[in-house]
Amino acid sequence: MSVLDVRHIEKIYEGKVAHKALNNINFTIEKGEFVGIMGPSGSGKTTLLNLIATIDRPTSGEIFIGGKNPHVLNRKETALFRRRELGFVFQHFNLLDTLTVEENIVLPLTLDGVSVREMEARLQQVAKKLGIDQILKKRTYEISGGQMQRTAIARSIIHKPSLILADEPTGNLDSKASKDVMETMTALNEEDGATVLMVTHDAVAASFCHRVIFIKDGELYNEIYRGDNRQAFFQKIIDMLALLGGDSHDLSTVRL
Amino acid sequence: MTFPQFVFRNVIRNKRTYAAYFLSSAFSVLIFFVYALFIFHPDIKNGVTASLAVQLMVAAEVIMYVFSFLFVLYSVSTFLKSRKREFGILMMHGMTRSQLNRMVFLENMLIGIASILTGIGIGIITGKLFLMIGSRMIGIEPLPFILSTKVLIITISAFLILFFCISLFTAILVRVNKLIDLFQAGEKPKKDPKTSVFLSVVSAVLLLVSYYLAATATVYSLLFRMLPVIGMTIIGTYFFFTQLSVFMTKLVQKNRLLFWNKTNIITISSLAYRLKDNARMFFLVTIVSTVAFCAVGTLASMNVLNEQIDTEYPAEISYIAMDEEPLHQRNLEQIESELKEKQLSYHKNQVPIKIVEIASSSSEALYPPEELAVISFSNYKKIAEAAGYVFTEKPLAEQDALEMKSSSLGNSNFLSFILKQEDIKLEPESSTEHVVLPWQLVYDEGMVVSDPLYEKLTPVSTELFTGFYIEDIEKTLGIANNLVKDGVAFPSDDSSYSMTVSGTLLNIQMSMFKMMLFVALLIGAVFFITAGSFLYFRLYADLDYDRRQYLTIKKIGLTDQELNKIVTRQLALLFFVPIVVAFIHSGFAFMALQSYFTLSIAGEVVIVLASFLAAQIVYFFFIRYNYLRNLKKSLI
Repeated sequence: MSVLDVRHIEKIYEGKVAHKALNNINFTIEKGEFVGIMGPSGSGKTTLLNLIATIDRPTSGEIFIGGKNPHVLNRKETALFRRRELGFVFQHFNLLDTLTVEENIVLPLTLDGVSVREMEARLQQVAKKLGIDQILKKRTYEISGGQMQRTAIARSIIHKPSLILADEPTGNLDSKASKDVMETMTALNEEDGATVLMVTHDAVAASFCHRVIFIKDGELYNEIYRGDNRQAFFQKIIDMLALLGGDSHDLSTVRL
Repeated sequence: MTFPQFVFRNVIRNKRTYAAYFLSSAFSVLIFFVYALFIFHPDIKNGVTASLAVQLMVAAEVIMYVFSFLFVLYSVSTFLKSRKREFGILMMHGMTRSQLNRMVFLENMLIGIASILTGIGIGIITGKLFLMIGSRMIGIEPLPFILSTKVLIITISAFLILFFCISLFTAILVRVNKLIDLFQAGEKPKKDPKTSVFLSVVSAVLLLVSYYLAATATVYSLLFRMLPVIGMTIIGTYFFFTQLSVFMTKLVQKNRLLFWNKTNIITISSLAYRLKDNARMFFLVTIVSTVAFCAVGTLASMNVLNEQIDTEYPAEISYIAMDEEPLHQRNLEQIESELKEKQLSYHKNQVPIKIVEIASSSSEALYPPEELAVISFSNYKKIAEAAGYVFTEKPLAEQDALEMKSSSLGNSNFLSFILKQEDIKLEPESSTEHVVLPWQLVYDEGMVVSDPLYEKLTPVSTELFTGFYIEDIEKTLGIANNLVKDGVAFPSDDSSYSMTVSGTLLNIQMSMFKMMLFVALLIGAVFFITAGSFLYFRLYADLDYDRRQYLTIKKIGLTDQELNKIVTRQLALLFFVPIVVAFIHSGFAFMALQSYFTLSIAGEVVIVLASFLAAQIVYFFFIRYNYLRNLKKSLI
């Protein structure tokens, strides 16, 4: 069964000049897949992610996550849906600096009223897996960018969501930390069967995916699969980006 | 575009940003102006009996001005903080330090002048209403609306000076260390708030000790305790907000069952930061509110003084003739005829008072009393019963004496006297239960002795006390005005009588009280509104940061109800923690104050505190609504 099913999505931004951000987007993601979305600036990647994240509503079309359409839910149910079915990883980490690392990680469970014992057990599991069990008591300003992003990943998986959405997870990291984070996500995907949808500019990060979907000017442009060789996949992505005619900075691995 | 044009457009086109600052400034001007209208009204001097009251109001105006100064300064500084990024952009494009200062200065003057004009404009419109309320409150004829140039000049010049000084100050307030700091303002993660266990304990101890001292204060110890208690409370409050409260939230955070429970995790974790960040503001608000509560509460309690008049002056009209001139007969007849004219039913009694000479006394005063007024126990009983008291005191043994109570506050150390006549010793061990002769009439000390002893005393002179007892105190207003001034005639060289008229005394006390209450209410209201505005500015300054935080949590999945709950709780803490602390402070202050009154002031105090609380609740809901609306604008 597909975890994510996007059908004929259209998004039009109203205004003095109406702007069609997405046009007839169709794709599905199966359970356990690791999918990347790439495209030049302004192609509609983030809009698409926001629609899937239920943060925004499509003008027409439907999105099914785990067989359910979150856009027919009311505001409260949508919030609860995000809390239980989705995990988020952001470019700017979006950790709460008033909380410690462990408190940030358990936040989705806490909001859902899970018992403290259960939270602590899951916290230990997740923290070990991500190699952040030594910094649990630290505050967000005491840890490095890579550690922050791993904390954010821990937060996104602790409630075992059916889909993890990552928005430029390596966008704010150096190449070493980027590699760490991507390897962590790959491990989660391979070992725990987590389903991940990632928007990225970074070809290196994208090369960790099973499949990369390319968008241009709000429409699906192409889709390439990895196969066995990551190096060859990386080269294919670079070629595709060149074909898309994105700006040169879209190719860079490190963005400031 | 010239530089002044740039500044002007900057302000005009950013109306929203400047609105809060502008409105609060205009409000200060408005209050100052209408109050000045009242004080400098040509009719007010004729209408108000006591000239002290006018001085009091002028003093209140000065306090208000000083307070406006602090208030506007605080508004400016929070306002500037929220604009750091804008300054960063301007400096990035090459604005020099002096240009920035000039811009801030011009902006401030522009807003200042606009708010002076607005404040006076609204003041002129609402002035009549204010004069009506004011004159009604202090019980004088309604004042016609007169706009004197004096008031205009005073208001305009006072606030021009104020805004000029503050505009100069702000140049210092905008400290720019590094350009990068301006850009990252509010984005850097906040450091963990630090607390010291020692200071937390100090704060708790200081507060408890001062509460204890205030609660156990008596009339005599209050004077010595007052200053140390105020000092300790202020320091204790400061550390309470900067240390103790943060310390306590941190303790709560250690309890995972409580802390990791649904939205508590967000409410409590940001609480520690809010408390620490706003500690000074909380401290100021608490102290300011305490002062406001105490001022209004004290004056509201004065009402009790009016009821106390009945116990202080048992006879509605007391008259003491110090010799046997026929004048006294005429005076008494005049009083009786006036009473009859007013159709007041009364009964009267007459009691002789013997004045005896003192050889020595245990008094440590520089000029120990030389004479003693003495009445017999049976006479004491007679006037006490005439005043309507239920008499339960036991008759005195032959050598015993009671000190004559001259005020309902009582006295705890009793003077003993040795009389010149036969070295008779009078050593009272207690005082009479009731006041029978008002203190104004018993100049030196007074004593009640047993009947046999009284008979034995040979006086230097004998005085005659006449008491008129009337049911309705207020109706005795103005009786025998030719004999007494303001209700009391003291014995002096010119006159050989002393006299009190309760109705006139009550009237004077009432008008004085109303005037002071009016002043206190105004100042209290201004302080209170200012305290509320401090809170509002603080929220406004933090709004961007809060928005980012809530946006993150919303994305993770937070329902609207949960958001409302978190915000409501946090705002409620911000609004009610200082107020509740101020309530507790003033509660203990009133406990100390109670020692000055024989009757309970609890009723008055509860009314005052309850009305402040009600006002705060209304204000809370208003701010909560606005804040949530602003917050939700950018949320999903």
